[in-house]
Amino acid sequence: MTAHRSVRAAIAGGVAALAFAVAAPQADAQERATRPTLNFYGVAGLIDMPTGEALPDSQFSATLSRFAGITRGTLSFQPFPWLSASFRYSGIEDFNFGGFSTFYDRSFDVSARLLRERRWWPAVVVGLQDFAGTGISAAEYVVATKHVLPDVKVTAGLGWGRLGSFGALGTPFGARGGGLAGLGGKFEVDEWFRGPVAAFGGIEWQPTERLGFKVEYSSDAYVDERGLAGGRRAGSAPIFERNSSWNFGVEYQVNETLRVGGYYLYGSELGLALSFTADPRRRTEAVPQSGPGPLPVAVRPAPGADPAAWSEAWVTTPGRPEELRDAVGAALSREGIALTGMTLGAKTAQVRIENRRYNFEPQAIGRTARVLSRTLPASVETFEIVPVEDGLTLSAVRLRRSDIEALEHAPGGDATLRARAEIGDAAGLGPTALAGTDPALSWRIGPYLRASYFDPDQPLRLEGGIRASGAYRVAPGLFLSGSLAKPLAGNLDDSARLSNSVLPHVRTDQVLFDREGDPAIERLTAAYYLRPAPNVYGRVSAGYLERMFGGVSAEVLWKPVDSPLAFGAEVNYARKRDFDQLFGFQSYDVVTGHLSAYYEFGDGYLGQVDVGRYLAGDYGATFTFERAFANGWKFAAFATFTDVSAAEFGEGSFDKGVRLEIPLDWIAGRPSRNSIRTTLRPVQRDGGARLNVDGRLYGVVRDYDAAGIDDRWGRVWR
Amino acid sequence: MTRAWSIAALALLVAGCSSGNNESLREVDRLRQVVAARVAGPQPVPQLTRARVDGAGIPLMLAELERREALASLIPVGVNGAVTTWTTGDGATLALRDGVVVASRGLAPDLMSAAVPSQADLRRGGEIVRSHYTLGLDDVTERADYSCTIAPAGGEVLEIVGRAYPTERFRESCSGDGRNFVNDYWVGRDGVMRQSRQWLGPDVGFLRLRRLDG
Repeated sequence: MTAHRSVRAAIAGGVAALAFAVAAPQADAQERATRPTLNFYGVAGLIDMPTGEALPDSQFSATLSRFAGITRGTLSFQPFPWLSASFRYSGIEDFNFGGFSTFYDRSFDVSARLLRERRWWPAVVVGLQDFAGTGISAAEYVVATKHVLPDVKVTAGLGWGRLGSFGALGTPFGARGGGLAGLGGKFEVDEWFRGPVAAFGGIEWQPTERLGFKVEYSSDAYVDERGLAGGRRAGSAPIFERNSSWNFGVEYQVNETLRVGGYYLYGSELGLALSFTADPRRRTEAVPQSGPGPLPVAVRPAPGADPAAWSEAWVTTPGRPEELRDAVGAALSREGIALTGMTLGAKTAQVRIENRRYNFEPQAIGRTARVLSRTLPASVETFEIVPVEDGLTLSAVRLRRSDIEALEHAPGGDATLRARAEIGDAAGLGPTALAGTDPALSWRIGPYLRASYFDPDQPLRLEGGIRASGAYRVAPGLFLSGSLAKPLAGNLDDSARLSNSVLPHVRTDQVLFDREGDPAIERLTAAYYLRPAPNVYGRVSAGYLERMFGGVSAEVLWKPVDSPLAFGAEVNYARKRDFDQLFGFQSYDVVTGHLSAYYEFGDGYLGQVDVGRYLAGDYGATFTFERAFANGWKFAAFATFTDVSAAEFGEGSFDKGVRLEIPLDWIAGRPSRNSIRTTLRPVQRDGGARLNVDGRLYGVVRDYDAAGIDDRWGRVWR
Repeated sequence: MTRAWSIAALALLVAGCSSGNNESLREVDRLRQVVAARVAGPQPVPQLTRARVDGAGIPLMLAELERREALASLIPVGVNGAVTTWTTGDGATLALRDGVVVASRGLAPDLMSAAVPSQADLRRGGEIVRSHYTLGLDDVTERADYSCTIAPAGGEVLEIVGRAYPTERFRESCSGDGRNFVNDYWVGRDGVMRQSRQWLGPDVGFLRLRRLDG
């Protein structure tokens, strides 16, 4: 009774507020409208309920919330202006379910904006919560939010599933199946928007830029958590008392990225939430992007003023080209660029460079051009700068020295320089006349940290140790490299969760590898990279390819320098390594390989499809969608469907996950090519698993194609 | 002392050691310098005297970022046409055309390039358009245009490190891109920009420059 009354009160309140909005003059509501904030689920919302707002395009957020022993950690990303995606890891203490005292669960959400907020219209969002997990948080909703004043927003919505569990208004679309969805991971499409529907809503007031107040009416009964009849743990002890449907909160925006909140929920519980938000496209003021400036361009004297400087006699002077090469190599090395080869003519210089410092390829190209202007005789008019990685010539950037001189300080000179530069394929360039100055051997000894996530006994496991790695360039394109790790401390090998997989244990024996690999040869390979034809790149690797497998891997990639489309093919023979990760092998072996298609949609959106045979011998396809930013931030989601059945696959039903890459220079404010990369899978099983070969071609080639260079060209004069 | 040791230990931990070409070592080295500088706090500026300035025997400029309270001395490192590039000891650079800033490097966010008034424009007075090019959202080059009015602001005698310089002062009042700012220039009789206060952008704010030599 009371519940129904309050629902009506809430809806009536909302309607009244909307009516008020209609009456109120609000010419600049759009401009002054407040930004969406995040709820306990890390999506645009109030406290426990979502709102009808879409988050700003490309916003990335990490949210941690806790009340009543329920902790939720969520990563959210806005890949399109109209689409939100979230990955969540939650723990419910004292849930005592499925053999676990604390119940950990992983879930994915998506929500789509149906309508933008207009003068007379609210913003409307439809969302799916926990749509592919075990379904313990599963809910669907349609919700509308409207600014009634520039700093006041009113939200009203309808929810199904978890959000339809309190104060049901009816069951418009038929009954919903109950219980946990088996192994999880299935899209229970026929359950979406089924079962009872209930109304929720609330008001958010942001009186100042930093301070916000929230009040909401929740339609979540917390059936399972309270052990209510009809739930998954009916009759069990409730983990909290739900005395009220009203939740209250106060939030404070500490700085650009951090927002904190304190809450009183369900008439019985205190809650806390922290959220970090960032727009990857925008560097935060806290981390100014600097690093030393380049040395200026040196301008040649006019030929009439100093004819001797323009003499071409130096070309035939014995030893002079080598001297120049050494000078260029030394100057480039001060800029963090390695000279891997050079051909000098009277009018043209070709330099092959390996960028080791700059996250932005044009920055390395620009710095090289400056160095050449300061080093080479006046007669050299054309600079052909060829970025090289793994011995592959990736593109040829032709710049006229006169343009470099004329445009160094021209307003908007970067665009003019790009218009005058030629960027072409760098196949068939052949060996350079002069060898590079880059040493053939490089090595490193340093610490490492490895992590494993989502073990139900210990959600985060870590191992730290010391790693020695090295690479030796036998010839251009031919490398020997290896990496040896010695664990020193950690709990990675404490896990007692041995594989229960019915498939060949191609990935699920991780624990055994962790236990016995002390020390471990992580990699020991010979790799050869080649450019067999225009637009074609090739790689052959052999040896101990990764921690779990050794063998032979061959790959070929077709990628024209100015084409958004690329195709690749890879075939591998892989044999499972001994758990001690020394030189021995086990009996399992497999031929695995894929045909891949890559397409750049523009604006950093990339689609990839890989079709082929996976490590466990299963056949299928992997679909990856990525949004990459010019500054190196990357967000990707992937899913693999193979002929392994959900039952054979085990928990999760199929392989899927998200990948996140954050460039280090974005955090440190200093030029760096390094980045922090993480792949998060709800669970790692044996189906749909691929070999982890180092140096796959597409990632190497892509940053240096015309689009990759153009996206970052503004940095050429940095 | 303990702090210095812990920084060294931290650096070693993060870096390990490696062959010369490894960039991560250099990164850590930079990190170490930054941390050391933070630990040490602001260093006292060495007392500038006319004897020191003249003794240096090279052109010298003093730059001050008002908002960051940062002070640096600069020397010229290159000339390209009418533009001279000046550098600080740690490699931040300023490019000046007739004493007017056309670019900065290492100020974060940098003025990548700019269309600015020449000294002839200052003397002539009147309306000009000033354009600032910066790396904006997702590092794409962005241009902001400002309409500016230049007017003489009378003669002034400046005293810079113990020497008096008669100058003419000019004001450039700009608006555009939702902002207003005023640049001031003090030009000596020899045409050398003796002193200026120039706005580089919304994040960096005003830069004060003083030419010390001559």
